[in-house]
Amino acid sequence: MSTDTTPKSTDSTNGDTQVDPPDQPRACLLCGQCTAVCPAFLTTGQEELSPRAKHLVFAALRDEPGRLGLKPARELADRCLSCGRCAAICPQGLSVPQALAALRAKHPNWQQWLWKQWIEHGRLLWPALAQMTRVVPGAVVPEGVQHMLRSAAAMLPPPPPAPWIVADRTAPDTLRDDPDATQAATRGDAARPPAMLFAGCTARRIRPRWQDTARALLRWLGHPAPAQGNEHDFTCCGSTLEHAGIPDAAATARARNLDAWRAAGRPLLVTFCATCHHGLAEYPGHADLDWQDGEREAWAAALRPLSTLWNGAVFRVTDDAPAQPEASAPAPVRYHQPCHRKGTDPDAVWLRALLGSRMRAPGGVNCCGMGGVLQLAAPDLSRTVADACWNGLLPERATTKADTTPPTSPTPPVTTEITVLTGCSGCTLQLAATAPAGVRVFHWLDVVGLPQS
Amino acid sequence: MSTQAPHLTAAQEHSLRDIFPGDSLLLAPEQTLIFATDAGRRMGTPLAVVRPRTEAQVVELLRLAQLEHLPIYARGRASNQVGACVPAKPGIVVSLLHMNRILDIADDDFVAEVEPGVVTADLQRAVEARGLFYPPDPASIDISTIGGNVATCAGGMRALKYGVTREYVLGLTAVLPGGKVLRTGGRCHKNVVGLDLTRLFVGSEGTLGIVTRIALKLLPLPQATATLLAGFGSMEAAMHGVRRIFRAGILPVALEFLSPEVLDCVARRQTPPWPDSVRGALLIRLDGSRESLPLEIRRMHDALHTTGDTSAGAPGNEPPVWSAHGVGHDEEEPLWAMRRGISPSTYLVRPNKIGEDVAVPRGRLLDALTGIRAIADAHDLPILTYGHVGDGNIHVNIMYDGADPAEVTRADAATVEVMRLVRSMDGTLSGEHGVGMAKTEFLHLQLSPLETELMRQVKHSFDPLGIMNPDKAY
Repeated sequence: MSTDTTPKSTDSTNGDTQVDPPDQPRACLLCGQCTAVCPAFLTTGQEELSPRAKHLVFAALRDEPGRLGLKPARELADRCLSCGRCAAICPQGLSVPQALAALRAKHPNWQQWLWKQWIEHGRLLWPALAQMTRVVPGAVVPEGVQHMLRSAAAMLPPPPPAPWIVADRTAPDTLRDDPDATQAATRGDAARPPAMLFAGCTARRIRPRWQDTARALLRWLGHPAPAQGNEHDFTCCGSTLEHAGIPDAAATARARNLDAWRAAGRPLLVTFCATCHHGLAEYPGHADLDWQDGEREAWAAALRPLSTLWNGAVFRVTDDAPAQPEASAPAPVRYHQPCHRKGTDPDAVWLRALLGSRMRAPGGVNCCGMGGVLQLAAPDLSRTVADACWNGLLPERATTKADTTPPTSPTPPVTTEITVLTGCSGCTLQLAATAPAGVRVFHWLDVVGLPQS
Repeated sequence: MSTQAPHLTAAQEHSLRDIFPGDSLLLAPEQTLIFATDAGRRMGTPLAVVRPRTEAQVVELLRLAQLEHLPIYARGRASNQVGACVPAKPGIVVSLLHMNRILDIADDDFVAEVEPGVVTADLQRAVEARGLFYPPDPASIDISTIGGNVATCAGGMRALKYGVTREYVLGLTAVLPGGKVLRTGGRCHKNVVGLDLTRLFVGSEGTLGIVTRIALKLLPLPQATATLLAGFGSMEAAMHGVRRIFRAGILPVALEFLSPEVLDCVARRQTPPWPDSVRGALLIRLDGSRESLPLEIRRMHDALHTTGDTSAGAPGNEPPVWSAHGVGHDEEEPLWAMRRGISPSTYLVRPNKIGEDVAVPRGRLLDALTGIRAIADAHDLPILTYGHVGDGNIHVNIMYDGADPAEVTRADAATVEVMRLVRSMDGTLSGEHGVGMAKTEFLHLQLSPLETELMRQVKHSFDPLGIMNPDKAY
C-alpha cells in the first residue's frame, strides 16, 4: 500500500489549523472517496487516472522495483491536475500532487525544466509567448504547442471592462461592523491592522491591474502598508514549483516569502488568488522553514483572502447608473470556483450576496483544467477537463454528460454574451484561453472600481 | 502478485482490439494495476481491461469469453469491501463507467432507466429535481454506481423505511456468457409472472451475467426531513430506546446507533456536542410534510421519554440524557456529519480493521451488542459497533495493529466468534456488503448444503463454464 509524508494543509479559510507531523506515514485504503472529486477521472471515466490508482502505482514503484515500467508509470501519474481535491477528501490525507512532486523531483526531465523556465523567467517568456501567437501561423504548429500558444494569448490583458462593482462612498461608516475595525477602535487606533499584498506571479508579471486595484482597496479599507518590509520581496508561493518537481526552488521561494513577511513585522498577508492562498496556507506544514515559536499559528492567522476583509454592504453594482450604460453589470454572470478554494469560497459568498440571482455557479466538481505542469505533460487532458468545466458553467451548451464523455468537437459558441468571474489567477488565464465565443472571463478584481474621490 | 501470471494469446488480444478500439482496451500493467483490486484491498490479475460503451460490445465480449474460457469481472467504481471486483483468477475486467447514461426518467410511470455506470448520487439528484425519489442510499452513494448497487443489493440508512436496492429494480437487461441478451421484468411496479429472474440478478455479485440496462422504481419525493440525535447514559438504554420507538408505532426513515466506543472515537477527531454522560446514541431521521415534521419530532421525543415504571422494567430502560434536533437540510447536516465522521476516525484507534456488517433479528440487537463487547474483552481488542440498528444491521469494526502478529491472530479469532455469535441468533453474516471473496470461508455457517447446491445449479444455468466472477459469493 502507498504511504505518504504529506504535511496536512493548514488553510485558514477552512478553519483547519492542525499540523500533522510531516513524517507520519499513511497508507492508501483504496476506499475510492477520491473518485468523487478527481477531475482527471471524472471527465474521462478512466479509473487508471484516479488518485487511488496513482497511489497504487507509486506503491508498486517503491515496493516492487522493476514490476512496472518507470516511464509508462510516470506518464500515467503525470495526468494529474494538481488541484489537490483528492488530498482534501482522503481519509488518510494522501495527496497525489505531493507524491507526484516527489517522483518528478527524483526524475526530472525536459517538461519540468521548461516549466521552471516558464515560472522563473516568466517576465521574459510570457510576453514572448503571447507575442508569438500573433506571428506564428496556427497551421504549422503542433497541437500541444498550439494549446500553449492559446494559453499565452490569454495572458495578454484583455481590454479593461468598465468597473461595474463599485466600492461605495459610505464604506468607512460600515467599518464599525468589522471585527478588526471594532478592535482597532477599542484600542483607540483609527486604522485597521497593517496589511501586505501577496499578488502572485501572474498579477505581478502580466496582470498588474489586479495588483493595483487590490492595493487601492486595502488603502481604502484603512489597512496601511507595514512601516518596514517590501511587497516586492515576495516571490512565487512555491506550490507550482513544488508540484512540478523542483522542491529546492520551491523551498527557496518559501523561505524568501517567510523572510519578507517577518521583515514587515508579520502583518496581515492578503491574497486574491486561490492557488497562491492554498500554497501559502501549506507553509506551516513545511518543516524546512525556520519557524520561530508561535510563528506558524501567526502565519495561519495572518493569511487572509482579500474578500474576507469587507462585508457585502461596502460594494454596490452599478447597473442602476444610467449615465454610464457601459458600466452596467452584465445580466448573465457565472462564477467558477477554483479547485484550490476548498471549503467555503469567500469570493463566491461575497459575490453571491452582491449579485443575487443574476450570478450562477455550477455544483459538483468543475476544474478549469489548468493543472500547472499538466499543460506541458498532457495538453489533451487539460483540454478535456476544460471542456467539461465549460459544460458545467454553460449548461445551455452542454450536450454530452460531463462525467465520462470527452467532447470531440470544438467548443460551440453561446448566443448571449456571458461573463465568467473567478478568484484565481491560473483559472482566469485557463478559462480565458478555452472560453467559447461570446464568453468573457475575468478575475473579479477586473470589474471592481473605487470611488473617484 | 506473481510476475508469471498468464497472458492473453495473440489471437485473444487481437479479438479484443477488434471489439474495443483505442483506449477502451488496456493491456499495460501500469494501466491495469488498479483493476486488480477494489476497496477490499485483495489483489488479483487483470489480463486486460475493457471499457464498453454499448450493449453490442458486451455481447461480443461475452461471446469471445465463452469461446476462450476467459473469466470476466464486471466493475463499476469498485467501492465494495469484500473483493467482489477482484480478478481472483486471471481474466478480463470490464469497466462499465463509460455506460453511464440516464436513459429515461418517466414522471408518470415513476420509473428511471439507466445504464450501470451511473453514479447513485447523480441519479438521485436528477430525479429529485423532478420531485421524484430513489431511496437506496449506501454510504458510498457519491462514489458507487447503480450497477454496483444492483450487483451487491446495496442498502443504506434509508433501508429501514424504504427497503434496499432489490425493492427498486423492476427490470433489467443482462448479457449472458456466450452473448445471449436477457431482457427481464419491465416498468410495472407489480409483476408476478414467472420466476423473478430480475431480482435474481440483484445481489448476484456479477456471477450470472453483465447488466447493461436497469429499470428502477421511483417514489414521490417527501417534502422535508428532520433529524433527532438522542444521547443515552448507556448502550442498554439506547437499545431500549429503539424498542420504544417501534412500539409507539413510529417507522423512521433511518435509525442509526453509535456505541460508547464509537462516540469516543468521533470525539478524538472533533469536539462533540454531547456531554460526557452520553454513552450511547441514536440518530433518527423522519420524513414527511413541513407541517407535520415538528409534530413527528415531538412524538418521537415523547416515545423516547416514556419509559414506564423503570423499577419494574428491564435494567437500563431509561430516557435520553441529552438530545438535539434539526428540521431541514441545513439544521440536520451537522448531526449527520458526526455519523459520516465515524469511519475515518476508526483508524485513530488502530491502523487496521476487519469490517463486518452482520445483521440479527431486531429483537436480538442488545444481545448481539453485549455478546460482541464480551468478545472484544476476551481478545483484548477494540471492537467498534455502529450502524443501521433499525433493521438489525450492525457494522462491527474489529480494530488491530497489522504490525503486531499477536493482534492479527486475536483479530482473526474474534472475527470467527462474531460470526458464530450472530449465527447463534439466527442472524446473517452480511446485511449489505455481500460475500465476495471475504466471507466465502464462513458460508457454511449460514448456507445449508442444499442451498449451496441449488445456487450452484442456478449459476450453471446462466454460466455453464463458470466464467462470470468465478469462486465468489456462494
